[in-house]
Amino acid sequence: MEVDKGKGEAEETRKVAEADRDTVTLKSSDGKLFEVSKEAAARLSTVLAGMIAGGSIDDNGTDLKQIGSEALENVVDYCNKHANSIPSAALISSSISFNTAPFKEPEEWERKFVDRLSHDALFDLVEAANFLGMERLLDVTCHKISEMMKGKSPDQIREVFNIKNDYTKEELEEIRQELAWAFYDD
Amino acid sequence: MSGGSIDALPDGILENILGFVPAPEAVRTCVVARRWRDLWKRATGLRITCVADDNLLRLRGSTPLETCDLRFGNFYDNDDELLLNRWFRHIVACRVRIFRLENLWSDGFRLEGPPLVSQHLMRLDLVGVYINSSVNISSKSLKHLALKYCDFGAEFRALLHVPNLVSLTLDGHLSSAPVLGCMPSLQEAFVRVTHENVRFRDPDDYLCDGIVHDNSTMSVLLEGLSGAENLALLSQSKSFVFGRDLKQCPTFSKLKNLLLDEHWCVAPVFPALTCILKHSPVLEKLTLQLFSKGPHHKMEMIGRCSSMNRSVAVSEHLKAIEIKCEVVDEEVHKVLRFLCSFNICK
Repeated sequence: MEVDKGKGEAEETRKVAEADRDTVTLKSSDGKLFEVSKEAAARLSTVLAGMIAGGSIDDNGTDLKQIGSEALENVVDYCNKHANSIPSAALISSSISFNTAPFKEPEEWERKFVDRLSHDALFDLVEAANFLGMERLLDVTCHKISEMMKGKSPDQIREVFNIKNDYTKEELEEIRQELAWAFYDD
Repeated sequence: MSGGSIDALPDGILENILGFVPAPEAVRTCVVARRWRDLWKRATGLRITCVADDNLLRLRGSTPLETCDLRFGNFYDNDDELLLNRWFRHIVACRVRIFRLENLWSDGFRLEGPPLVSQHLMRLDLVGVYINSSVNISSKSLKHLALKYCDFGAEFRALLHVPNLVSLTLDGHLSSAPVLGCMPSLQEAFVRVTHENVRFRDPDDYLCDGIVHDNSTMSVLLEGLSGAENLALLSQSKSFVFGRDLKQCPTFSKLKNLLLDEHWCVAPVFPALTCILKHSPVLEKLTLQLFSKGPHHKMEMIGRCSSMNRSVAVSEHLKAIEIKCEVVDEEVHKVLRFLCSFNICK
């Protein structure tokens, strides 16, 4: 009896702890569980913020059927890295320092974060960011993909991204003439 | 899942990607494949690095824009300035949220009226722009405003009506500084008045240093900045430009961090410094950047304030005073001696 009572109490304590714990558990399409800082998730993702506020977070793992485990791991990794970069922001507000961050460009750590990804992982991550309403991560990933396009001819872009050219020769000629102003330095 | 192919991404994402590609290149992606033909027209961002022909903006029409980064150098003919003015208006009309207009060259670019009104702009950066008097800026949506190397028309003062602004940078030859309206959400403001605007060709155009002393008694800058939590007021001009406003110094009721330079520290009685400290009841940290432009300073020292025997004229929350300078000379010593009257232990 003593033991059972103790167990019940522990169960109660665990439930209370889960109700106000500071992480949320997310479940990928292939059933893997990931923990992420609740504060960072709510700040970085409009979808997760809505779920947290609406109480639709499942303590046993909120199902995200559209996101595979590799992409979700990257999402969670990004959120947690962002959460860790808060102290520097607090430091800034305590002394005078003014936001000179370049125009919508990723920060150094964000660049490194996406630079290490394969094409596949990058495309999956950009979709996950889009699905979760993560504006900043979407910009960081889109910026990375844009870097892969910059300075390349249409032919090279097709090659890099494995895009099939479905234009006829005549159509291409027509477009080039129509938009000659954009092509004249080719 | 995309399966590692860009083709599997929805149009919305591709439009966001194209928003990071410089404009002529983004347009050329139209020949990649049929699906790409019109994607560039709906790109969420526009990055233009020279003023060329009108085709780009004409063809994309009034499709809403998230961001625009427009940088330009030399003008090739007189019509280019007109064209750029027209582009500026067009882009604002596309409900752009983040907009940067930067003049990379030393030739002045005049931004002409009418007033700039937007309910969509969140961040506006203007660099190296001469802003005509008639260009009052009025936006309730604007949160961040930076005007660098900018100057304002001298005919009359422009008005900045941006009541929800969170951060403000005004850095340039503010010979006729704009009048700042009330900004209760302001968190940080950096105001630096430069001696002459090096980005413009002819500094002789400017007849006086600092803010023009017209006849009105209206506070120009300080009143509008009085809600800021972090404030930097610097002057590279020979004359002290904030003196006029200090005659009717507002109370900086939320000010926690204040950065000033040597123009505020005039021995022996330090009237300007005393005045602003008296009007900053919750100040926590004062930084004085003395005869050193930064951003790196050879000497940096922090004095912690003791709460005992404190001068009544100083915020009871003041915890630290930081001095940044190149060398501790006689002038810096004068400031230090004056600060000792606040009972700082070094």
